[in-house]
Amino acid sequence: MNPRDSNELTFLAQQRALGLIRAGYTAGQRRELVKFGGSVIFNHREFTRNSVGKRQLASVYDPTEVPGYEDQVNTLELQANLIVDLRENRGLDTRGTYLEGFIGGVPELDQYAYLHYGFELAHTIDLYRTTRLLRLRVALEAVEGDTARIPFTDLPRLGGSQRLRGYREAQFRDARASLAGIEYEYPIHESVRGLLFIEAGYVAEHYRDLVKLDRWKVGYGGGLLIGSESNIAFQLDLAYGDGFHVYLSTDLAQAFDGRSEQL
Amino acid sequence: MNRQGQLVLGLLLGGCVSSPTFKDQPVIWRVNDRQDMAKPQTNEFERIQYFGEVLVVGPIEHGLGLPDKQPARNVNALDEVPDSTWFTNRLGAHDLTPAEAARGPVTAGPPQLPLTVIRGKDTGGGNPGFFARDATQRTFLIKFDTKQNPEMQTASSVVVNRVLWAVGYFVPEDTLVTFAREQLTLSPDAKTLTPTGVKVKLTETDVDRVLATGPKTTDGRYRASASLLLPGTPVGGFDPEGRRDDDPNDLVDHEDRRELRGLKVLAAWLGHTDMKMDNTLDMYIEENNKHFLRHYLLDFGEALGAHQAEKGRLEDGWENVWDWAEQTKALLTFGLWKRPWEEQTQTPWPSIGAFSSRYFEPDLWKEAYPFSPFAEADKSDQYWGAKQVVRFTRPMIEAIVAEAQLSDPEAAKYLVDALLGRRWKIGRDWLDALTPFDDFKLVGNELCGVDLAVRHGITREGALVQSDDSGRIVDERLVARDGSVCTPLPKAKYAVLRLRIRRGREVRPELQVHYSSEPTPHIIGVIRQPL
Repeated sequence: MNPRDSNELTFLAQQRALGLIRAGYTAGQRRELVKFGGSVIFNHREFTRNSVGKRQLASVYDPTEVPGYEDQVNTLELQANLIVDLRENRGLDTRGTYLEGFIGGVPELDQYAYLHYGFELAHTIDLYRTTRLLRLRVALEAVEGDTARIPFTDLPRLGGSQRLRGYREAQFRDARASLAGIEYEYPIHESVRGLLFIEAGYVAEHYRDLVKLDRWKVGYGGGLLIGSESNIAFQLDLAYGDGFHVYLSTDLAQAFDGRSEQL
Repeated sequence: MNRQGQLVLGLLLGGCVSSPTFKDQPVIWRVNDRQDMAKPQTNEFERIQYFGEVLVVGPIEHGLGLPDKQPARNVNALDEVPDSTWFTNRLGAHDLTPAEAARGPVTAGPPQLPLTVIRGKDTGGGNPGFFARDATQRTFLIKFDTKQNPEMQTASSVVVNRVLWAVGYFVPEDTLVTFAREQLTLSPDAKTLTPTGVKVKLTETDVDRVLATGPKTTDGRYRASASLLLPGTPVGGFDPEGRRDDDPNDLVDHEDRRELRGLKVLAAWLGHTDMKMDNTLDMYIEENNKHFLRHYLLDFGEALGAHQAEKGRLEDGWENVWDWAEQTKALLTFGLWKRPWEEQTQTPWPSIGAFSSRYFEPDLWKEAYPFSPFAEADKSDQYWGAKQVVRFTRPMIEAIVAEAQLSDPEAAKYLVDALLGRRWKIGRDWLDALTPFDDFKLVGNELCGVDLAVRHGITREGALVQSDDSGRIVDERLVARDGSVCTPLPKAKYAVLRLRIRRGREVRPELQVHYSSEPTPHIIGVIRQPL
């Protein structure tokens, strides 16, 4: 079966080595921060079929349709990043705009090569004295290249606490991933905010498929945001999408944060 | 409890409000809780345990239990608080001049410069400070304002100290001191405790670090509150609930003490939200060859809006730090419920913060950390507290605020007006909620007294209505402009006068005055809030 033809829960096991070097520069003060920099990401992945007792990927899908699964994956990705952070702070009751973009790719050193880019834009509207906030968020991530030369693990993903709540972590992946969400934040305690949110996202092979809104996956729910004016300690969400899911996460405003370290 | 203790308690209960009739005996105005006793153990303030108890365990227990409020247990037959090691009637017993109120407990004035730092401050709240000896060899706890709110905490220390003293609480001698750096020296023996409890030598750098946390005056000096060390040996604060097991004089559960319950009203008036065990202190003292405990309130630097400013929480005074009821309501209403404190604004003065009379509702007021006596306060306790508050006149409040030496006269004027405004609201909600007929005396064949709400400007007019046992009105008299009013005494050996204050169509709850005509007419008891 081709993975694009179905959406089945499967498991895999891998041995992975990750090397990550980042360098950057931050300019400006709070409310007008601009950060730019670059990253070098080395990935080595080797998949095995010993996820005991679980439904293995290779038993559901045709492994030849899953690039990288049957071979070792060795990629060296170079990226340039830009962050424009106009938020008042990174804690509770913050408002303003956050924009992150990146572009890069894996040069043709091994059998894999592709272009990789994306952006996230989040804007918070103050509804009442910075205590009731409405946060609008859109994100897009894409890879360009011969699909056979893009490891399935490096395809843009949706699902999980930071990218489409209501679904399992990285439940969906394809060459294009887009996400839009609205989140309402309201006060409960000096260190606790309540959240109501609805998110929709979709992954597709081509951009033209992203406009088929009836295919988008929707997740909604509520949560608690715990922190202070300067920091978010953690966030607890209960979301419904294809079932109920509970998430414990840190900073939701950055959908792509940590994507390199994740599976 | 020893036998002597039982006797004292029995006398009190014999004349307390839970009894429908009173024994015809002299009213108790002084409790003998100064029996000689051995030094008790120090009651350590265990911060985590304390806050866990008051913020988590206590609310759960109260939530699961059935309502079981009991009247205060240490009031006399007139529903007043007798003098004790907890409280001495001052403003309630006689008028105080503005000068007396402003002087408060202070006997020898502020520290005489220069000051010598003798040890670091490892007790007495979280703000930076140190212990210092003045030129007269008296030792003071010296504490500073924050840079964000110059003069706020030092002003609050003095104002609240004077108010609570005037009412009758035991408080330290708190004053203000302003000094230049060269008027502060360091004793070579000075020590301080590190956060891990290790005693180390106090250095000039440590002193400078403390000084650097506070603002300087315009002429480059340092302004601080100076609290004279209390006489005796400190043995820790008193628990908000229960009694000290090792104090035979401690006969009434603290949450049932009227002066601690009524303190809620004063705390509300003054915005003293930081009421907790850590801000009380029992001193083991000797007096007339007897050793006993005296119970103090202290550390008032976080009142008058300072706790709100320091913690950056506008809800201070409206919600407990962790308020299960309010915050659950907030969670479930998704922000559609605009809480009453949300519209508060800061005043132009950093020394005042957001303290105001406009954003103050007595019935909604809450301390930051639940304090059991406040939770147990009933309408009679609130009436008692409100009676203390309304006795403060504008000249008294002006004199007390002047002691705070606020550098901006407009800020001082604002503070006086805010206190008067809050006083009026307390009178409206907690004094005039019952029949505020008080200060009784027998004049001929009449019982005369004062409508305190009229006397103290809470309202302009009223009428005193007397009813018989069947509820039929037998007499009604208009209250005079000064609040005075009389009502006829029934001709009986023992009679209960059932009195109510009427304001327009509104009638206040019944007040019972128990009266005996033999051997000579006298009042034997008052029931302020019949069950």
